[in-house]
Amino acid sequence: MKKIEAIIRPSKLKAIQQGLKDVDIPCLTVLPASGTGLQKSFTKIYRGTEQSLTLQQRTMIMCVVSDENLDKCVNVILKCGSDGEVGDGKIFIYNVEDAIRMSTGVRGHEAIH
Amino acid sequence: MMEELTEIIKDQNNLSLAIDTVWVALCAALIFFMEGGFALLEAGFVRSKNAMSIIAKVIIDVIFGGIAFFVIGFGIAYGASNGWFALDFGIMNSDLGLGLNVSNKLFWFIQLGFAIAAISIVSGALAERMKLLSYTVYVIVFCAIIYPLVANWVWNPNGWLASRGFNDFAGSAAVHAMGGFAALAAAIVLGPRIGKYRKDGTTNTIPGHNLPLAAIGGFILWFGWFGFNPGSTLGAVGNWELIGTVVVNTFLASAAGGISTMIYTFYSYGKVDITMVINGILAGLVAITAGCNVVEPLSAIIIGTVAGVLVDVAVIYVDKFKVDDPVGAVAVHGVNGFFGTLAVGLFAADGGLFFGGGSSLFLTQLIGVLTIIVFSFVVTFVLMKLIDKTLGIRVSREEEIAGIDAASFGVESYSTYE
Repeated sequence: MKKIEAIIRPSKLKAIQQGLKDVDIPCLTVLPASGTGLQKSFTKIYRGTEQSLTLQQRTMIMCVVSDENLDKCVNVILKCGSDGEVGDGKIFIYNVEDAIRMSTGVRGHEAIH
Repeated sequence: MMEELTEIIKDQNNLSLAIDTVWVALCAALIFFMEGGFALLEAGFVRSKNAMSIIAKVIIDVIFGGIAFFVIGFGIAYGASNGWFALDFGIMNSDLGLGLNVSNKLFWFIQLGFAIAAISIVSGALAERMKLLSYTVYVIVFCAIIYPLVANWVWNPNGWLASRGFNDFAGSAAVHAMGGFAALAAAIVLGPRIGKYRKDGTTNTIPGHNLPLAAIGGFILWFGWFGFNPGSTLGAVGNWELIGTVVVNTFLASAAGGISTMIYTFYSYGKVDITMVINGILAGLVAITAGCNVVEPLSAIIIGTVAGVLVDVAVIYVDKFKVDDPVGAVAVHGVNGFFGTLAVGLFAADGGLFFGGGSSLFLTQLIGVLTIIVFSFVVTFVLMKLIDKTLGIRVSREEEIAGIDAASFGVESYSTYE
């Protein structure tokens, strides 16, 4: 089991969600995120003063998938989420110890399928 | 026949009083609603951890300020004046000498709106760091004595400025410059919020947490202004031409203020600064408030245009002097209240310097507004120092960092989890 955390452009969320649904990996958790990478940001001005440390609005997607679905899922996020430009985001992949479906108590691979 | 005629005249008279009463009551309610505008505007411009505390301040303005203005404020403002001062209690029953067509009680209610508007100007500049109890003490003194004295000079029929022909129709000087410079003095004594200015002297911006909220607040104030200025006619019967003039001038100045701020910020920063445009609109409104009864529409546009630029420049300068004014109260109300009062002396169709009226009206306006701002600045400065020495004016460092909402009220404005 792997956990995928992808920090994406907010405008790409709908496309990625649709893409994941199309390959039958429909479960995901989404969080608003802000941060900064290597991209040049917009200069932010607030009431006549330039802000020095600014953060970009991004969206974080989290999905936990089986090992065999990992590449499929990553490919969808890359395909639907990337413009090929600095600022597109990052994908991080983690190993997952276990998963539990709360309604039934089922553990492991069954819980995410 | 004669009896019938007397009856008809009496009916007519009653009707005319009723019309005036409806008009003034309606405008007074609009003015009262401006408090909601202040609350939202200020809440939007502060950080979320202090949003409820600033709303609490505006509530204190209304409830404590309102009672104080009832108990003694109104008597000081509109009692029998020696030109500078009057003393009376509650709402007087006697004729106030203003030729009112509404009851003294309704007149009190519309004046209440002015008093609490003036103190609400101050509340914004003190956001995010003032102790609630100390603020309440200041509110009571402000609405009981400080504001009523200025109102006495400007609007009491025997006031020394009123007798000199000082024209401050709805309070550019008596409400806005007065409140704005009190805000400046209070913000100086109070000091900036923690983290607003860095050690090297540069400014660290502290953006407001909810700009749409601030914008709605701006709209409500804008809306309420159409009670503030037109309502200052204090009657509708016989004023139909004047009310039209006031409404149109009020609108034109606000629109021009918004446009000039848009253009100014675009050329200065490369972007239209919409939070400043809200202030620009309000600046136009503040500036036209003194002269909306005596200037031509074109002059109203010029006044608004100047106000929209003045507010941008003033915001930068207030910041340069390390005075932390989170909502721009000094720039919007203080600076433009001052300018708007002078603008009457320049643009009044009858008596203005630019319209061949000579300099006498301008000088009266200058003397009046200078006296008012020096008075409100000095008195507030001294009073704030006194409160600081006795009750203390700042919340503790821990409370300021944690946020006043959680520390003082035990609430959060936005509790995210159910």
